[in-house]
Amino acid sequence: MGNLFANYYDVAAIIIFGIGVCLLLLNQNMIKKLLGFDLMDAATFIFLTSKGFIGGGNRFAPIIENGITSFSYYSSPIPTGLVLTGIVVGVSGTAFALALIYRLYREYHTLNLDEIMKRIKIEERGMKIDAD
Amino acid sequence: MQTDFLRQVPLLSIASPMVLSMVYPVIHDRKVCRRASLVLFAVIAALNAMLIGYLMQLPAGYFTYSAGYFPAPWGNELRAGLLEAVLALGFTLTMLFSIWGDYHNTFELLPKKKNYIHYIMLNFLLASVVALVYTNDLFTAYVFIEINTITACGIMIPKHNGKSLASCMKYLVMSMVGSGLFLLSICYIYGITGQLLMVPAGEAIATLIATGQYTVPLITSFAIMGVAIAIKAGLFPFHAWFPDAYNNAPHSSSALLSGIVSKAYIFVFIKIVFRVFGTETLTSFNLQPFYYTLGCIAMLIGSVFAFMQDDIKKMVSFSSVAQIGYIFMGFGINTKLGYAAACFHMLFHAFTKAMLFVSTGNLVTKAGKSKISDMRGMGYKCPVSAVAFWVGGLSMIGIPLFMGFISKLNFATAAFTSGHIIVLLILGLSTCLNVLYFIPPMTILYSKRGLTKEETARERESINTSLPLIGFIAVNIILGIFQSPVMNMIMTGLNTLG
Repeated sequence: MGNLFANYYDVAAIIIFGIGVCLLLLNQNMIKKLLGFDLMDAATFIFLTSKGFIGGGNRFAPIIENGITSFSYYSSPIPTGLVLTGIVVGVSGTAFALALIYRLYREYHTLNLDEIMKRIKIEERGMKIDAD
Repeated sequence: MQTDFLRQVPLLSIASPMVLSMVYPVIHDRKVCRRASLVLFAVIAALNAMLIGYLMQLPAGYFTYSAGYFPAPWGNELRAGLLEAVLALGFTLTMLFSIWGDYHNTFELLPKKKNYIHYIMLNFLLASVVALVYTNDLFTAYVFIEINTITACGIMIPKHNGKSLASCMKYLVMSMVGSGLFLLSICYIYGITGQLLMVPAGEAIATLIATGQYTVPLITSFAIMGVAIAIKAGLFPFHAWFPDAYNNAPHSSSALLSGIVSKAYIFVFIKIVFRVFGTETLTSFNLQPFYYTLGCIAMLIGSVFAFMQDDIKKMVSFSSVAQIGYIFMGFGINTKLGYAAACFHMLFHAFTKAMLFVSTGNLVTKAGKSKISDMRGMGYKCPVSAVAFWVGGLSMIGIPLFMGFISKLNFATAAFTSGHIIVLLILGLSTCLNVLYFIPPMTILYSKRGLTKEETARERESINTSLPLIGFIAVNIILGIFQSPVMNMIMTGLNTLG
C-alpha cells in the first residue's frame, strides 16, 4: 500500500490508461473511441516522463542554465525525448483514424459503429437474396 | 569492417523503400510507381540473399550495425543474423510476388486518381516489416510497429467501399490497443533497467532476476507485452476482427496482411524473449502454458470456423487464424526445435497464404462471385491459379513434397521431444479439419457437373498473373524437398539470436 502512494504518478497513469482502453473498446461512438486512444497514449506518456524524475529536491529540469553542464544537476532528459517521438506517433495514428471516421461518416451518415455493422449485415443479406 | 557494403544492407532495405516512395507523389503515374516498387522489392530481395551468403562466412554468424557509429548503449542498433536475413528475404519475396500477381484486381479496378498512394503505403509496409526483423532497439520496435499498423490499415482500404472501411476501423481499434500495451511494457522495462537497446536491457534484467529485485514489474511487463503481441497477431481470443479485415481487403492486401504483417509482430516478440527476458523466464514466470494452450485452441477453432464458411475468401481468412495458433503453439513449447518450427512456419505461412489469397483473388475476379459453389469449373478458365490453389491447399494439409509437411513434421518432433504428447493429438485433429475444408474447393475447381461445354473450355492466363504464382509454387516445392539448408540456417540463426 505504501508503494502505491510512493509511486502515485504510475498509479494515476495506469488508471487513466484503463479509462482510455475502456473507451476505445466499449464505446460505440467512433469519435469517443479516438478520444480513448488519445487518453491511452497520454497516460503512457505521463508514465514514461515520470521515469525521468530524480527526487531529492536538488535536481532541476534538464535545460542548461547558468552554464552548469554537469549531469548530476539535472533530471534525466532521455524519457522526454522518447515521449516526443511517442506523441508524434500517436498524432499520426489519430490523423489516420480521423480520416477513416470521416470516410465512414460520408458513407453511412452515422458515427455509431454498431449501427454501421448492422447496415452492412443487412446489405449483405440483401445481396445474398438477390444472388439466389 | 563496418564499411563493407553488405553491412549496409539492413539499413538500405529499410531506408530505400521510404525514400523511393517519397518520389511517387511527383511521378503521379501509377504504372511507373508499380514497376518501380516491384524492381525495388526484387533488388532488396537480392541484397538480402547476398547478405545471407556473407553471414554464413562470418565466424560469429551475425553482426551489429550501430547507426552513426555511436556505441551501445547510446546509439540505435540493427542486428543482422542468419535467421533475420532469411526471414527478411522471405517476406520481401512474398511482397514481390503478391504485388506482381495482383495486377487485375488491385491495379486495374481501383479508383484511378490517387492510386499511387497505395504504392507509398506498400513501400512503407515493407520498410516497417524489414525494420521489425532487423531492429535491436525496443523503442524503434514500437515506432515501426505503429508504422506497420497504419500502413496495414492503409492498404486495406483503396477501394473505399463501406465494408472495407468498417472492417478497417475495427482492425485499427484492436491494433491500437495492442500498440498501447506494447508501449506500456517498454516503459516498464525502461523504468526498471534504464536501457532501451535489447542486449543491454537483457543483461540488466538477468542481474535483476538473479538478485530477486523487481519481480512484480518484470512479470507485469512480460505479461503485458505477451498480451499486446497476442492481440496484434490475432491469437485465439483476440482473433475476431481479422477474418473480416482479410475478407474485405483487396486480394494482394489480404495476402500481405495475413502473410507478413502478423509475422513481423511475432518475430519481434521472439527476439525480445531471447534477448531481453531470456527464454528461461517463460517457464519461470509460468507464462508458457498461456501461449501453448491458446495456440492449440486457435488451431482447432480456426479450422472449425473455416469449415463452416461458404465463401472461399472467408474460408482462407479463417484458416489464417488457425495457422497463427500453430506458430504460438511452437513458441509455447519453449525448446530450440519449437522456436525453429515456429520460425519455419512463419516463412511457410507467408508464402503459402499469400499464394492462396492471390490465386483465390484471380478465381473470384474471373468468376465474378465468391462462393465455393460458384467456383465450379473455374480450374479450366484460370489454370495457373487453380494449380496454385491446389499446391497451397495440399501444402496447408501437410502432404509430403510441399513445405507444409516439413512444418508439421517439425512441430510434431518438437512436441514429442519435449513431452507435450497432447499436441500431437491436436496436430492430427487440425490436419483432419484442414482436409475437410480444403478438399471441397479443390475438387470443385475441376468439376464439370452441370456445366456446358463452353463454360469448361480451357483458357489461358496472362504472363503477369502466371509468373508470380509459378514463383510461389516453385518456392513451396523447392523448400518442401530441400528443406535442410533452410532449417540449418534457422537453427544456426536461433543460436545467435540471444
